[in-house]
Amino acid sequence: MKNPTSVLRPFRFHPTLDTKFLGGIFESDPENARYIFELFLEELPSTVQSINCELGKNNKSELYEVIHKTKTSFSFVGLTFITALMEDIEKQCILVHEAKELKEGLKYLLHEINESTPLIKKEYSRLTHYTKNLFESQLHYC
Amino acid sequence: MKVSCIIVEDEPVSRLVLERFCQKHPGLSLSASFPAAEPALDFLKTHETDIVFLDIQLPGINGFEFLDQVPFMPKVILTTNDTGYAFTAFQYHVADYLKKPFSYPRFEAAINKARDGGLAKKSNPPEDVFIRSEGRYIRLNYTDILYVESMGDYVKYVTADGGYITHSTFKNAVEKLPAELFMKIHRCYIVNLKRVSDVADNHVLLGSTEIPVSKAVKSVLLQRLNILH
Repeated sequence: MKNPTSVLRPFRFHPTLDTKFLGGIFESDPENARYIFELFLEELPSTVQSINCELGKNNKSELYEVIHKTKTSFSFVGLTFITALMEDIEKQCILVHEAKELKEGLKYLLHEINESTPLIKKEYSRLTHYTKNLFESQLHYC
Repeated sequence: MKVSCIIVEDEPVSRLVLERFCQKHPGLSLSASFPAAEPALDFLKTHETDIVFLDIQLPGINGFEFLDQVPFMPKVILTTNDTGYAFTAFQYHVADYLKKPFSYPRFEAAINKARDGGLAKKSNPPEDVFIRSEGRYIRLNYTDILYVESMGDYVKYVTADGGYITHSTFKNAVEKLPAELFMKIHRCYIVNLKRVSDVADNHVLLGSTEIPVSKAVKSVLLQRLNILH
């Protein structure tokens, strides 16, 4: 009987995402990838809300904290370009006097996050489906 | 035997990924996970831990300042976005450096590095240490050392027979001396717990010598001394 890992083709992430990066993180562990995508999607609304909230309050130090605290999570799902954008904003946070000076950059960032979210949701759904099939094929193999 | 570890990481996704990886690793036992430094420091005052996964940039404090306040020296695996801290990390003898985001194999490699680099020594520690003082190397048996005192660029090892001053760092002494026998009880003093004869409010006595105790470590000290209530 075939080994279950050879029954299913390896999971391939959408080419828009940083697939080289994702391959390096998850290698042959789609269950881990699924879990991390799930965590990311759970945290995302509060990240976006915090950015908007701190910008609204013109609170530079808190905005810096939010950006710093959340930037890596985008790389974990292959959105490395968003992490890079956030790193830029984080650096600018130190240079500007007020958070509102970053309004344009943040508007662009939020737009990019908003545009990318459906793809992450879709990838999460594909991963869920894939890992379910993998699990079932393992049961069959046993 | 499983290796105990804690996580100190303020980025939620990174923290949860670390938790997941720790739970997946068969040789690790995750004792606790913290989003901030202060509760982690409180935890470490009462729980000896083998490995600390530590974010360098924590709110209000950096990882190295955090390590300065830890009463013993666990193996440290730094988690960071920025590799610019390598030199300081080297000075603090961190076991490894995980650049975020990291993979599970990279995480495993860091655990192996931490284990190879010192956890195994715990079961069979050496009984003595050589220190260089006045142009010669002197063998000091750990049990003979009463306490160690920081003197700026020098460190003084005090035994019943006298003191030996060596050109070294206090941090180096904290790391070299076996944690099961010695404890840093003040920013300038490490004491041999077996030689503590008396504990007062803000100091301990080793024979007739008074050594100050930091408020922050007093409760840990009392726990480590075999006190009959």
